[in-house]
Amino acid sequence: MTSAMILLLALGFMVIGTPVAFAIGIASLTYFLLPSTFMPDMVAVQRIVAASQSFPLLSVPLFILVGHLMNGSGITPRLTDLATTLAGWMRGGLAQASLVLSALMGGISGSAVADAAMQSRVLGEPMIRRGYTPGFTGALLSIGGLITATIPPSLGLILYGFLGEVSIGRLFVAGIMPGVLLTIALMLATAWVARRRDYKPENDRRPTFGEVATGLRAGFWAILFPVWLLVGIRFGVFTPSEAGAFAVAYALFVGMVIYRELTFEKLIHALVASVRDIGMIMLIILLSGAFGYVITFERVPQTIAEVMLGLFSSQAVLLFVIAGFLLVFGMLVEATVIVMLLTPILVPVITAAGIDPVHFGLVMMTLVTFGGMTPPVGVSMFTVCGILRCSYKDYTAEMVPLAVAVLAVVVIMILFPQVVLFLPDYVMR
Amino acid sequence: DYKLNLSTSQNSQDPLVLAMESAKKKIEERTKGEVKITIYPSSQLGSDNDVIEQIRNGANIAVLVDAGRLAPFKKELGILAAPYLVDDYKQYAAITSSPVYAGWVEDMAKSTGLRLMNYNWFQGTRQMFTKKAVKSPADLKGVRVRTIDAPGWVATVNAMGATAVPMPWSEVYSALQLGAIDGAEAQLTGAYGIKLNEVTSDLAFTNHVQLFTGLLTSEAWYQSLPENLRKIVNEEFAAAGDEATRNTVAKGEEVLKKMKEGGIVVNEVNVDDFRALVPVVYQQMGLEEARAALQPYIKPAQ
Amino acid sequence: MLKIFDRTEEVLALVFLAGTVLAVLVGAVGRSIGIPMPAGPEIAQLLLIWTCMFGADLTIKRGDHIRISALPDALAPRYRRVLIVISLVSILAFLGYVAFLGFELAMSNWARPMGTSGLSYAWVTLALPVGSVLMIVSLLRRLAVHGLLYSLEPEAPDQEYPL
Ligand code: NA
Ligand code: NA
Repeated sequence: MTSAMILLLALGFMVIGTPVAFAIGIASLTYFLLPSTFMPDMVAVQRIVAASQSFPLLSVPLFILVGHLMNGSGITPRLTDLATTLAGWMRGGLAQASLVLSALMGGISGSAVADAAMQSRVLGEPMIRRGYTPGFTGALLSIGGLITATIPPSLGLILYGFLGEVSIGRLFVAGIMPGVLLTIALMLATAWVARRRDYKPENDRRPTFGEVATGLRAGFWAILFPVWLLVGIRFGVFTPSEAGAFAVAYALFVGMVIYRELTFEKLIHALVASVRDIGMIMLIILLSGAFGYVITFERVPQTIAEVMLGLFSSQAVLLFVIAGFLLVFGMLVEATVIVMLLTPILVPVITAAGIDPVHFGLVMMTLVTFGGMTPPVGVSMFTVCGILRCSYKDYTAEMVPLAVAVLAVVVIMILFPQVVLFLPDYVMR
Repeated sequence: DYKLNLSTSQNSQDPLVLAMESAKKKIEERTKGEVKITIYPSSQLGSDNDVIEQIRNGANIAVLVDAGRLAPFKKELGILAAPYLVDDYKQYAAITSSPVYAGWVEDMAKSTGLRLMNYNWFQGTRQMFTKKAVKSPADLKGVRVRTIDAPGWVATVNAMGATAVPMPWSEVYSALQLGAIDGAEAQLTGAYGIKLNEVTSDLAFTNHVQLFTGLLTSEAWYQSLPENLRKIVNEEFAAAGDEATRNTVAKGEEVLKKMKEGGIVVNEVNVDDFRALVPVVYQQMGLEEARAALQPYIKPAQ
Repeated sequence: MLKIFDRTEEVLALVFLAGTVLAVLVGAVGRSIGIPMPAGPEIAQLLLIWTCMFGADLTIKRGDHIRISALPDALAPRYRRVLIVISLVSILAFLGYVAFLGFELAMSNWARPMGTSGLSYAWVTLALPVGSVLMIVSLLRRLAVHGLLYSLEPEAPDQEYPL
């Protein structure tokens, strides 16, 4: 009861426009101020500090930095060229290329919003000039970010693994197949839209072997990036928690030594931009630390688990119910916040039902990340529409076929857990 | 009404938590509900160090910790987690009923407000799980062994000849699987709990630390209990510690059998080879006087 | 004067972030080559919370913290002002109390070690009260410079760069 009140208070503050981090922090501190709470107020402050003291969490700031370094180091433009070579010949060439680019970037970037913002700046203008409607352009670039967020590395999966005590290495490997499926599904949906709208190809013919080879050579070091990460983790050079630091070092190396585009000025710029993003995201994570304590202390997970497990006996039914709930909640609330609030609650529930937390993690992260791309509240949507100046109404209407593609992939993931699990089972055993 | 929250890093299926459950039942029965207890397993309230901090700031919590966590507050108590202090876990009873130990406990209560209620919750004897056979200290050279992130533990593992790597327990399995470390020292039940036997091949019975833990709570809360309730609480927690110890020992034998069936190779070691290397730990940790003070109470095992 | 203060804060934030990366690298490489440096991860985590708090303050200075502005945006400015006042007062009270408690907590617990490096955990805890005080100052400065309506959001997104 008390915890429901605290949750409502947090949501109330969010609705009136209090920054999300503070809405959560204020509501949690209120719990400690209640006369019925025996815990000293200082515990709230300790939980905020303690939230920062988990080693796996270090990868969040590190991968944010990697994302900012990629632009300055010349990795982004090379991958954009390669994507255009690979997919430009299809109907709706630029749109298809943007999806391929999301998949290529997926191996380096861990954030859907970062990918959507970058692509809006790089591809948004050209697409609209070629006659793609702003609504479709915005929806495509925004939802394409979901591919980036699913293919390892993934900030969302790191957070989920950290909060749910699930192996981040396994989660990473498990993200590969859903990422590939999302790419295919979104490309099919785009092909369908392109046919109806008669969006033209970018190139009049398929790329020659030579063109592909040139593109691959130019983007070689960038494409190698995820391979390095997985190999490094697999052979114990570094742990998944440490991978972010090696990714930073690699981006620096490629940018300074190989492409020689990363100047000191660009490096400082990337650091400054990262510090701000880190402050924004990590403040939410830290202040949610106190919230997690409230949830635990009030034994919310146990209560929800008992109710859920009593109601639904089949794993698939349970997953569909939770997925529906996550989809709706995800449309309303920022993804980081949902992960912070719900992972500690849901992981014990699904584990008790015998569902693999790695499988569930992919379903959950796909849905809540997707929620950031939908109205009424979605950071990706706000970002893309802000940059492209597309109206939320057009965006919403044009995202429907893409949303159908995403949900179809989620249904496949729920019905066939092996689609997600066979790779981690194979690689990590 | 008196409320107490029990915190432990062990999960809800562990013999220690099961013993807590039975203590809770008996205490609530005997005090007719005047003392109410809630159990939080799996570090739900925070890491052991976090919970100690909460207790110091007046939270009504008791946390199950090993002596390594107590050393910053009362250096001498750290000796209870020191290597080769005794040969057999049964010798701890004589130590914890000695006036020397009682003096340390009272000192800590006075100077830090932390009350150690008991120290008889046995979690098992620490052994070496590795990826190659370890028969003598020389075999540990260059082997990266995970240990607890407290100075005493690191000193112990290094003294035994290995290279100590402190790391969160939750990361040990994947770190071993991926080769980021080469071994881990742990007690049998804990090791089986995270399936260490799947990612290591060899087990050496080094017996280096008898891992006892005790319930640490706030002196203010402890003193606020009326005499009659305090007596009940003390008796039942002590009894639960003994029960946990019996069950841990039994479970240790059971999981050893399972690990052997699973193919782990158990190597014979001469414990004296390792014992000869650890005096330096007592030196580094400033525990030589404490060891001398306890000597009269360390009786040979029966 | 304020400029020097802002510049110092930014430089420190960058140093903290760069230090975090370096500490993780040193720790991982050390362990890989068999010379583990347990202080590496510990220093990384110490620098991480300082990076976070300084970064959070830099974001406050830009009015850039993630918020849901749909309701306030739909209201006339005078109603919007009411909501902002509620938010601001709550945030300032929250930060003030957190700063106070955080300082007490850090001071009360110098004995708590971070791990094996010998550093006191109080250095970690201290980041929170220091960050909270910085954020209080920055909020008040925004209020003074940009006025109530733009205390929590930028006047023009993407254009207010303090650097
Ligand atoms: Na990714
Ligand atoms: Na949404």
